[in-house]
Amino acid sequence: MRNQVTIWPAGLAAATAAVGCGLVFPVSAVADAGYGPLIDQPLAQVDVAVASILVATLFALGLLGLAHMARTSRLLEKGEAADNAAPEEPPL
Amino acid sequence: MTIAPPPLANLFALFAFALATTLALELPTAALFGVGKRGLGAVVLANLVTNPLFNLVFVLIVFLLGLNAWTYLASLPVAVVLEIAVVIAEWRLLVWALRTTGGSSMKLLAMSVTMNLVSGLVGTLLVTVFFTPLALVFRFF
Repeated sequence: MRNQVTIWPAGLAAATAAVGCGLVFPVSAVADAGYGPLIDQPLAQVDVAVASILVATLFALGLLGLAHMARTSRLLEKGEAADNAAPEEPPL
Repeated sequence: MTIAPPPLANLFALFAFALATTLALELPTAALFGVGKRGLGAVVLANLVTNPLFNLVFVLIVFLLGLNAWTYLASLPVAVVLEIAVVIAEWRLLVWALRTTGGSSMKLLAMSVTMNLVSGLVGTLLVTVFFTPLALVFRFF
């Protein structure tokens, strides 16, 4: 279970990095060359870069929040388990 | 016929509009599953992770394809494939964050599918009506 907790965010971060690298390079090439006859104003590389930074920031914030929530969920589960396992108080 | 690609301000507006619309649709849908306040918080955080990334990837793919009548139609299957990836990612994120406090894994999968079905269908409708130059599509034919 502990491995699952650490593998998911790492896997997602790696997937994002792969998608980012996979897209930024062709987009840069396309932005340099223009988009062909139908689009005469290429999307500026700086626009793509700033948008990518914004997306990466939101991505990281979301993951951090979820990681905090996963920790509190674990504590809640432990608390419930402890409550269930607590012996009944002896009668006075 | 030329279409100016979105400048940065339009990209931000698109991302903000998409995130706000998605949350406005997905939170009430999630509430129907009875996940409580923690569950709704997890839905917001999962959308912070997936929604802007989905939109950035989608915008880049559409611009890589070249935006015209044909590629607008071709972008719909791309959106469906990305949406399926989002459903799986959000499901796993919700399971990770809520563990057993949010219900069973299958319940969270059903919630993720329903939320994204609602937001995907309504979102596509809104984009088609407000953002897509339908006139271009019709003119093409």
